[in-house]
Amino acid sequence: MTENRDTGTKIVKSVCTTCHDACGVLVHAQNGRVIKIEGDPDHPRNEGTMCPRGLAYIQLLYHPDRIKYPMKRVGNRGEGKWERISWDEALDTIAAKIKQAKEEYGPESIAFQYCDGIRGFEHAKSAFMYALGSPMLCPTDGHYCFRPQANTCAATFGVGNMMTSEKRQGGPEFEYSKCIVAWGANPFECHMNTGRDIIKGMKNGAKLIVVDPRFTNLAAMADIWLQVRPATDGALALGMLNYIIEQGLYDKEFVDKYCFGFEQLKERVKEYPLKKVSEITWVPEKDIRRAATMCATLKPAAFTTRMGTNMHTNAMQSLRAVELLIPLTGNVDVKGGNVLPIPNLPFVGRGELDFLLRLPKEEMAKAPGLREWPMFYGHDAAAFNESHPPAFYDMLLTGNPYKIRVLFSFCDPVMGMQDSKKVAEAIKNVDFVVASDFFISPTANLADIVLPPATFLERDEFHYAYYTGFFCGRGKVIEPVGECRDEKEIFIELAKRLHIQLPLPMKTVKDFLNYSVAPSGMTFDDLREKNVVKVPYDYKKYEKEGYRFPTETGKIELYSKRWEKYGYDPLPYYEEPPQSPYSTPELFEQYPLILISGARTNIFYHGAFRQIPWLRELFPEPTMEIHPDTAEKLGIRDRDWVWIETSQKEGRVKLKAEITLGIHPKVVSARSHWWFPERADDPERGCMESNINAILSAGAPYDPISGSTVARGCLCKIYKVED
Amino acid sequence: MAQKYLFVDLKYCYECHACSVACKQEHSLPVGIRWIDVLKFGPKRAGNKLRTDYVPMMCMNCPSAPCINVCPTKAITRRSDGIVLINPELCTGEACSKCIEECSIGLIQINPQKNVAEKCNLCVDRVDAGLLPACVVACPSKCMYYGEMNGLMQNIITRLYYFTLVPEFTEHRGMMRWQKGAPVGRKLHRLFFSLIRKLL
Repeated sequence: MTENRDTGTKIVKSVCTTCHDACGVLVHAQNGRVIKIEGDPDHPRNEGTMCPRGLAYIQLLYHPDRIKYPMKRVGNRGEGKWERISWDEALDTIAAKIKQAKEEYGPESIAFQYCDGIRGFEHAKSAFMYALGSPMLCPTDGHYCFRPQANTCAATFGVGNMMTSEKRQGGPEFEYSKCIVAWGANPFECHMNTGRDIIKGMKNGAKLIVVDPRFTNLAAMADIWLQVRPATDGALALGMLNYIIEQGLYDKEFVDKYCFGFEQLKERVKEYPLKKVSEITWVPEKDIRRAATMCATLKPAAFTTRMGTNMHTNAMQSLRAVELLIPLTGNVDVKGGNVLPIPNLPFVGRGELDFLLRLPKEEMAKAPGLREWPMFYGHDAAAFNESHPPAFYDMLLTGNPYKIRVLFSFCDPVMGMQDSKKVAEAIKNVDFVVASDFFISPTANLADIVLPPATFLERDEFHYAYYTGFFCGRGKVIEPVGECRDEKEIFIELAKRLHIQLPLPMKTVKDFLNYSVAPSGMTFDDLREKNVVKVPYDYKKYEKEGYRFPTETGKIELYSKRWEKYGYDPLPYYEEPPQSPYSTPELFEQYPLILISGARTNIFYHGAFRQIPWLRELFPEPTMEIHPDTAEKLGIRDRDWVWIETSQKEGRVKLKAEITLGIHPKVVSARSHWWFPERADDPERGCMESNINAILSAGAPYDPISGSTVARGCLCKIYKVED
Repeated sequence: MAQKYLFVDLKYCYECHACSVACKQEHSLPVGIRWIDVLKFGPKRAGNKLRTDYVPMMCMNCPSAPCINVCPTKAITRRSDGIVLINPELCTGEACSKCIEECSIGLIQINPQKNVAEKCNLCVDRVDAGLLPACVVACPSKCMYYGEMNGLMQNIITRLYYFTLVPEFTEHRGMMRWQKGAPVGRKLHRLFFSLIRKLL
């Protein structure tokens, strides 16, 4: 920290938590007020660079609409009438409701929904639920966020995630790659620092292959762009595997030495000759050949996949197919390839704090979805273990098998989950809802009590996720605005009131932070002083004497014994989407376009930031990408409002047409999570008007292994909004 | 003061808008006022492929800056390091607007809160304090460079930058006067920028 006593300003090193990336920032504060946030040039992750969200965060911190005090509902549910209450009243009310529900209906009647823990309550919430004895924890994106990657990697390598950018858990090292493959992923929009690694790699001469139905800004930089038909990634990957094996381009030595099941895989991929694959995926044969040759011959190559491969019913097998390119091209745990997780990290991480695993199996099995997808949720899951989200909302709605009486809502599933109307109904069906959010989001609007969380500038935190070989500590810069509070404190306070014991040394937040960093031999204050601490790691761990991959065979399983045990196909296969031009040609006549949704922008973070003036200015309206030929046929001009209807659900939403050559004439891409926080008169904030999730189904059919739903690759029709 | 330059390696710009929001924060600009705008050209057909170019645009501090000459109150001046500045004390604001009409790039705007003409000043306070402009620091792909440069080099590079990479750029309002550069391939461009990276 540097301080200028004359002007009363200080500059504090901190870590931004606007998204997962956790960049180092320098926060300028004057007389207890933040006046500027800029990148920290000394931080190894972002090296002084920033994204627009972090740079505009000051507008969130001091936003006039930010929730600054606990409030209780005074009108009807969803009417948007609130009254300020004290923290004591809020916590006492919540504790009383929990106590009553637990005594009358059992702990299963208390549930918790959350999204992607960037707000610092991550560990506290599962500790709290464990202490209550309830398994009803729901990650609203759990069935298709990064968990499919973690679970497929568990099948192949026996370890956690090696495919996404979370390098702590292993991942692609683009910085040193010669060939970068981004498959259904756009780090430029979603993970700035992974994007920076790609650029560093390219500045060192790496080639870039992008697989995406959209011509994204990443694709614009690519050497090869494969415009795949939505939800056919599996076929494309199998075709590439086939070509690589057929041409003898695979790393024979590595496969012989470290892989199991090569012959079976070879037989399987023979079913995917290039001609067939090209017909399925709409990608020209010569492009597939070029891409396959490039990623097999340029070494090292690194691969990443993201939500693009995860949001359909062939998700897990598609992912497995893409992932098998890593061992076949010999890029496992090499510098510039896909790196195995670092063993024995000197701190207590997420995995160790997954408290629900300590619940008895029969208790855990009460959570919805565990019986249907036993490998993906529950005790055997490779990463996290909570409920299947669509099944969770079914349970909320029907009260079957458990009626939920108290729901903690620390996220915004009305925007983020498919079938928004049902989600909203389901939440309304709960007796008592506690929400915690920076703003009255469409979900928080349905709550009985809303709590004001502290931003990253107003609380202490320990960071390790998404980092390559380092972790850091951050102290709070200013006192919280209003009565905002670290969300961890909510659980500590509630545990006190309920006389339950959190399974952590957690009398105060500081205790917990000290406990987390204790294995490194430091206290949290030491770490905060140091800001960043490096963890060394090495490559090619499997070359060490006696190394076994933690799979049944001790090798990389091209043929997955784990999946075989659960009755799933141990070899990847492709399956046509349940609704597509080929599987349902009659329906396709009625709904003649393929819809993909959920393409991200780095201006917003899921449903957040739409009330930040500097950001909203850059992306003022919900848009939908459409090819000029298709638009012309439908009489749609650029920036016209259009209605979209899907084959999955009744209803329609309107978005603004963005005419672009960067999309296939038979495909449209709708932006997701749109609501209008500026509509002060409308308590719903227009959350069903332009929200694509309102017309997507969260129902069957599901991916047989993960329970993924079809958010990308369903059918739709569009027409102009006549005014 | 030696002449300073700001370059953008367009190959690595991907329209993340970090520069424009960093600029907004640095200068506390209201909604609607933008000193940097990231323009998008494309996707368009280029042979049998598609192509999109992204171009961050800010005041060029033109060598022949017409805004300087046109200002009736002499509010616009050039420093010895090349930065063209508007003196808010002397500017008469919207009633005059002569510089705005004259600016070929269209990036001088009236700030309605103060009723003065404003534009990118290359973060003159930061630069004078030995720091880099806010946009250059924030840029995630590090495609922006700021510093002194040999005059000849600079000449070649500015031309390369604007004329060969983005064909439409010359069609864009106001860039006509710069249309002197000879077309040079991407390979050569890369060579020059690898050189710049070493120099700055």
